[in-house]
Amino acid sequence: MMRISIILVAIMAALAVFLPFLLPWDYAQIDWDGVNLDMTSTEAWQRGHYLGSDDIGRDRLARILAGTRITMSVALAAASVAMIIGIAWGVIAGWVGGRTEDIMMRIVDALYALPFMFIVIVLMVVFGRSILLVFIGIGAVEWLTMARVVRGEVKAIKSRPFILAAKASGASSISIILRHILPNIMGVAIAYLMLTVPQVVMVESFLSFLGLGVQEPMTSLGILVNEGAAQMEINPAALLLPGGVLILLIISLTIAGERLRDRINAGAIKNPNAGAS
Amino acid sequence: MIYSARNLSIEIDSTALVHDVNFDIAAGKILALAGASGSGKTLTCLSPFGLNAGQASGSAILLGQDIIGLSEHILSPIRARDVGFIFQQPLTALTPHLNIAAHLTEASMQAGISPSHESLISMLERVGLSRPADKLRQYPHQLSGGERQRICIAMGIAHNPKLLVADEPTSALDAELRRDIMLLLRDICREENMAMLLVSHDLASIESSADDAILLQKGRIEEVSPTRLLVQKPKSEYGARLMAATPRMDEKLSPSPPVGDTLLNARDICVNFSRPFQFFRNKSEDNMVRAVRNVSLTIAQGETLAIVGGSGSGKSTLARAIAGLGPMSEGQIVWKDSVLPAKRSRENRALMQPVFQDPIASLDPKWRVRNIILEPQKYLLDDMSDILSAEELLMEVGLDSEFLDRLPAQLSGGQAQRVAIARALSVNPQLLILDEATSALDPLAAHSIAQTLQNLQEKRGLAIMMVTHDLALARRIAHQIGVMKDGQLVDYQSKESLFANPQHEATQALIHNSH
Repeated sequence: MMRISIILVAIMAALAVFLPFLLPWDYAQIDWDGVNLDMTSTEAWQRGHYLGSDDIGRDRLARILAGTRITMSVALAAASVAMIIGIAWGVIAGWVGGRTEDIMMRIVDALYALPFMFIVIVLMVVFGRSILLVFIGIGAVEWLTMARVVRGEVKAIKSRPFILAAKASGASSISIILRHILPNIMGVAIAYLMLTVPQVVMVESFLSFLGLGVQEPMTSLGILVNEGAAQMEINPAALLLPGGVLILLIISLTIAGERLRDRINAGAIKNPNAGAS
Repeated sequence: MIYSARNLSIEIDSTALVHDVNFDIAAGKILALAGASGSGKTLTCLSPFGLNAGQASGSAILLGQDIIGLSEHILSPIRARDVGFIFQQPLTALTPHLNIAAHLTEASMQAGISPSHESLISMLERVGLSRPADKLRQYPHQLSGGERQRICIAMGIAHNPKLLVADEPTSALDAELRRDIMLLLRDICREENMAMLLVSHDLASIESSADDAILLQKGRIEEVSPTRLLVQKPKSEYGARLMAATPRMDEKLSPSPPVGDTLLNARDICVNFSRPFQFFRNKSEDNMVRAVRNVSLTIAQGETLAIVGGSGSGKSTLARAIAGLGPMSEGQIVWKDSVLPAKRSRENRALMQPVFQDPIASLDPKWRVRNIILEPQKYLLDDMSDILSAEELLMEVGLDSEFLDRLPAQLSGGQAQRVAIARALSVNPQLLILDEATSALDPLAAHSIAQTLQNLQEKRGLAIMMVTHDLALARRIAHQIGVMKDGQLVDYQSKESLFANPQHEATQALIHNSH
C-alpha cells in the first residue's frame, strides 16, 4: 500500500513537472478558435486539447498539470515551514521543561482555539492574494500539531539513560539536542510531515475554492474544482478531472504518511531484547 | 499426573525455539522451568495453551486430554476451567478502573461461580492480605506491588484450577517480597493440591519453593533434577556454570584486595524533591519528598562500595547526586582535597563515570559503537596523547573490534553493557558509578561483567560504587556495604563485619530474605 501510494504521488509529481513541455498549449495560453471544447470531440484532439478546453479557450490538461504543480509545491513548502517551526518549538519546550514548557504549550493551545481559517482569510483580504502569503498562512497553522508531537517525543527520549550518559560525557545541551535528540525524533517528524502535506493540500484547495488562493492566470486544483463546479451540469468533466486528481493526491499522501507512522511506531515499541524468553 | 508434556516442540515463524521437552507434574507439586533469557521457558509454559505466538507440536496432556492442536473455541473453556495463570507484572495485570472485588468476581465467573461477599473475603485471606473487607473496595493503584501480586494470585486460583501456571511471578518485586510470595505459592499448592508450573530465571529463588526443576538452554533440556540438587550439585556442565555465576549468600567470603588512599568523601548528602502539584496543599506538612537524608560515605582507590536497598530506598538518587547527574539539596562531595561544585566542570566529570541499569537504552540507538565509546573523550579531554583507542577500550571490556561498527540493536544485553563500560572507561576515570549495572542481565552475562569489572579494578586501581538490590552480589565483590532504607544509610561497614554483626534491623531483614 505504502509503496503504491508513494509511486502514485511520484508519478503525479513527474507528470506535473515534465508533461507540460510536451503539450502544444501553455496553461495560460488562450486558443481563440477552440473555446469550450469537449474532450470527446474530434476538434479538441485536432487542436491538441486532449482533455478539452475551458470557457475562455485554455487547455484543460495543461491547467490541471499547472494546478497540481502549484498545489503540491505550496503543500510541500507550507508543510516544511510547519515542520521547522514545530520541531524548533517542540524541542525547546520538551528539553527545557518546567515553566517555559508550560507557557510554550499553552500558547499552542491558545492558537489551536483560534478559528484559523478565518485568520487566513482576513490575512488574504488585508494583504492581498499572493502565493507566499498562502503558504506562510497555512504553515503557521499546521505547525501546532507538529510541536505537540515533537515535544512528547523529546520528553520521552530525554528520560532515557543514553541522554544521561551523554550528560555524564560532558556534552552540552545544544550538542545533546543536535546529536542525540534530533536524529531520534526525525523519523516521527517526517511521518507527521507526510501526514501534514495532505492536510495542507486540502486547506490550500479550500482557500482557492473560496477565491482566496493563488492569482489568475496561475491556478491550483482548488480553483479548477471551483470553476468546474460552476459548470458541472453542462460539462461534468470540468469538475471530475481536477477533483479526481485532488482526491487521488490526498488519499495517496495520507496512506503513505499513516503507513510510515505505523512503521515507525512499531519500530519504537519493538524491543530488541524481547526475544523468545 | 495433572499435566504432562511429551516431545513438546515450539516454533515461531517456522524457527524452532523449543525442542523435545518432556515433563510431568503431579498434584500438589511444583515444577520449575529455569534458564537464562531466550532459553524458551516462557514459550514452553504458555504456547500449549495458545497464549502466545508460539506454534506447539508434540503433546501436552492436561487431565488426560491432549490440548495441542485444539481449536481456540475448544481450548478456551478448558483453559478457563482447569488452569490458572499468574504473570510477571502485577502493575499492568490489573485493570485500573475496576476495584478488587470486581477483579475477583470476574476471575470466579470463569468457572461459572458467582461469589458471595464472604467468599471474596476468604479468597483474600487465603493469599495473606490483611483487612480484606477494605481491600475489596480499593483500586489497584491504592495497593503496593506485593499486594497487587497477591491479588493476581487470588485471581489465578479463584476458580480452583487444577494447574497453576506462574510466569516469573516475583521478578518485578523487591527481594523481601519475593521470598514471601514464593512461600505463599508453595503453601497454596500444597493445601489446595494444585499442580504448578513455575517459570523463573532466578535459580536461587526457586530453591526453597519448587520440588523439581528443569534447566533449559536454547530450547533444550540440560538437566532435570530435584531443585535442591540442581542448585547445590548440578549434574550438567551448563547447570554448574550457571550456579557458579549466581552469587549466593552461603558461599565463602573471599578476602577483599587491598585499597589505596581515599578518593571521594561525601558528607551529609540530602536530596529533596517537591511533591507533584496538589490542589489542597497541606501547609503544616512540608511538601518535600526526602529521597536521601544525611548520607555520608567515603570511597578509596581500588575499593568497591556497594549500596544495597529495596526499591524506593533512594539508592539510585544518591548515586546520581554523587555522579553529578541528579539534584543534590544539601551536603558536600569532596574529591581528594577539593570540594566538587554543584555544576561539574569537564575535569570533574572525567574523574567519575556512570554505567546504568538498562544497557540497550543507555546507548543512542542511532549511533555506532565506535562513536558511542569515544563520545566522552571528545567533550572531556584536552590532552589526547595517552588515551586509548576504541579498539583498545573494547578489548579491555572483552569485546573484539568487529563490534566497532555495530548499532546498539545488534548487541545482546551483555555486549551492550560492555560497550557502556568501555564508554565510561574512555576518559580514564578513577571512579565508576554502577547503577544496577548487572541486574538486567542473565546470570552468566552478569557474572562475566562482574569479573571484567574486578579485573579492571585490579589493573587500573579503579574505585567502584555500585548500587544494587542483590545482597549476594554485593557480598561477592564489594569491600564495603551500605544498606539504605527510606533515604537513610542505616548500616555501613566492611562486608566481613556486616555479615558477622548486622547493626540495623533492615540489614538483618535483607540478609534473612536473600538467598
